[in-house]
Amino acid sequence: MKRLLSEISAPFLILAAAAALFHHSRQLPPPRFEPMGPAFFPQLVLKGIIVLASYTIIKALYIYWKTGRREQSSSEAFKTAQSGRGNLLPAVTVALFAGYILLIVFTDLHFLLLSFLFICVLCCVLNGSVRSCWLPAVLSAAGVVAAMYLVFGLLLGTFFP
Amino acid sequence: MDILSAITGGFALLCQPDILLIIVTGTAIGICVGSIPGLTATMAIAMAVPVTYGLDAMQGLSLLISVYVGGMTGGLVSAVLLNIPGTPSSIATTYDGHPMAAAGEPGKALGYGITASFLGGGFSYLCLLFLAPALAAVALELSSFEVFAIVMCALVMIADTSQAPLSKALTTGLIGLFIGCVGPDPIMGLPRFSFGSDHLTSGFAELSLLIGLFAIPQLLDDVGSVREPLKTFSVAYRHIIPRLQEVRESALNIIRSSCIGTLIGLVPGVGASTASLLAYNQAKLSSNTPEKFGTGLKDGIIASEAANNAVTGGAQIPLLTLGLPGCPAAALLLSGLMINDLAPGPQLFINAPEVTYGFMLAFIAANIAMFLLMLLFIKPFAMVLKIPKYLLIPPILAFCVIGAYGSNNRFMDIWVVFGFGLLGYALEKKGYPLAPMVLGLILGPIAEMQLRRGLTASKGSFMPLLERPVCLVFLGIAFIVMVYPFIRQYLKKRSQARQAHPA
Repeated sequence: MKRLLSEISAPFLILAAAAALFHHSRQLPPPRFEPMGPAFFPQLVLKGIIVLASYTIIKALYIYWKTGRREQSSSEAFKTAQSGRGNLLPAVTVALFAGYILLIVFTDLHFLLLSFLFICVLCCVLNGSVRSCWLPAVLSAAGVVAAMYLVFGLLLGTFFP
Repeated sequence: MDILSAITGGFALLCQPDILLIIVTGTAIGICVGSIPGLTATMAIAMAVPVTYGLDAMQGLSLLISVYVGGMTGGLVSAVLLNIPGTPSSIATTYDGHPMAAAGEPGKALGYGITASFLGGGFSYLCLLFLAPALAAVALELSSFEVFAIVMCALVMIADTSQAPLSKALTTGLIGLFIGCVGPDPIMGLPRFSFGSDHLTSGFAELSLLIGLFAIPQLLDDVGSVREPLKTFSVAYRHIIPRLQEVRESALNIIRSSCIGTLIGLVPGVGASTASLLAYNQAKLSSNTPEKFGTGLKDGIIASEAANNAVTGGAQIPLLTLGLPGCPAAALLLSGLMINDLAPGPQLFINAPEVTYGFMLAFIAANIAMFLLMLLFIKPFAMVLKIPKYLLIPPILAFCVIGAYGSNNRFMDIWVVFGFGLLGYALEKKGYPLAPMVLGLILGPIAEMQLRRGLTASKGSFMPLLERPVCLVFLGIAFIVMVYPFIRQYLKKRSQARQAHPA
């Protein structure tokens, strides 16, 4: 059952989003100077998405119905155990990346300082040991921040956030 | 302007010291990025696009091209030394490259690969230089419906060649087309799907989308294997340059593989991985000692590398002549052209002939730079493999942020990178490929404009799509590609049923 839910969750979300956007597209103005109007193409594309997402859901349901639950249960348990173990580091990376962006957007701290801290912290988190990694992390962060300042700040004249 | 003077003009643009310096630097960066497993040439180009905002057209394009050419070849280094393809297109190089390195000749294996990459690339760039203008002249005659049919065919083929179920690949292609619809309507300029946000009125910044979709999912994927140690061979300079006699012996293999690569590059979506595997297979079939393939044979390395580098030139032909990117890397080059107000397509050869030929000649210059850099500095490039990934991923994430922000100075673009990065990662985890999505969002506005222009001319009738031979051919190909998996499944079931119940 978990496998079925995992199979249909993505197409179901896509289907729901496409249906909502299709509903929204009805508010777009009708055609004036040409036969089709601004809503024509997005609606065509959204109809296609709805059809394909429905097809994927029906196919998953059909396969589940046909192959039965027993066959899947053992591989399901294995897959769940596997994915549970590997998912932590990407999740931590995403959380740190989100925090870095939030600090850039909502605080007055300088981008280069935040980048230096972000690189140091994430390097240590990814390495798993602060003691063995802090020096290369600091050196790498300092080098990257200097390169950013030279390339984006001085050479390209970019305003840092 | 005739072709010769356009080529001369392009050559003059290219021969400036700053451009040559950019080409050498870009190629070196491309080789470094391409040689690190997990960091692809496409990601390297996505990271280089923001830098082009501060450069003029020729400088910016030279940077992107050199990163592309360097990145494609860089994959060879880790394929030979680590048995891991640095870029997906180097997969076939591992079959013979790594056994040769393991047998104590890593320098020789790299030398064969570098030479084959140089010759394969050179062949395809010459094809690009001479075929593209002729095809552009033909493309000028195409009507709106015909361009729309070609775009749809390309999208279906790209979806079909991704290693995912066609329904999922087509879904992401359509999601890409829809994302391309956000922002002003291409005919009347009315904002669509902006939900009252001023930032969305002009649509998503293409660059932020590309960085989000190419870089973030790839990096998050790499994070999973960040603590795995890599074992590499050390490279000696001995025997890196192959003898002329050895190159002469492999001349037929090089020419055949280069032709395969160039032709595959012409077809949207098929890509360098398929080309190198196909060329490898052909080399094996035509060899007197096919059983030795996979044990460290130079012909295997040469076939794979000549073909995957030849794809780079072939893929530019539809891009320049039709404005049709056949692969994600070409889509990024397209955005590089658009940043400089150069709309790819047949008109490009008329409106900006010098830059267009400069673009093509930059491939040749980058190829020469790649050859010299790889031969002279292969040892430092091989040392890049020893940099642990935990030191590479965080800086790249920070570069993603400043790259996206720097183009428009909007915080919104940073959120787009983050949001679409997560969306891409989630979709990939659920088996939805991202390449069709990227091409969809690039091709979406072109497809919509051409279809609506055509429908305006035909007063709302779709009949020209079925009446024009060019439309019929391309829509027919798209239809066959979509229906073929079902037919194959039906035939397989029928033959299984026949075997189970004979007569």
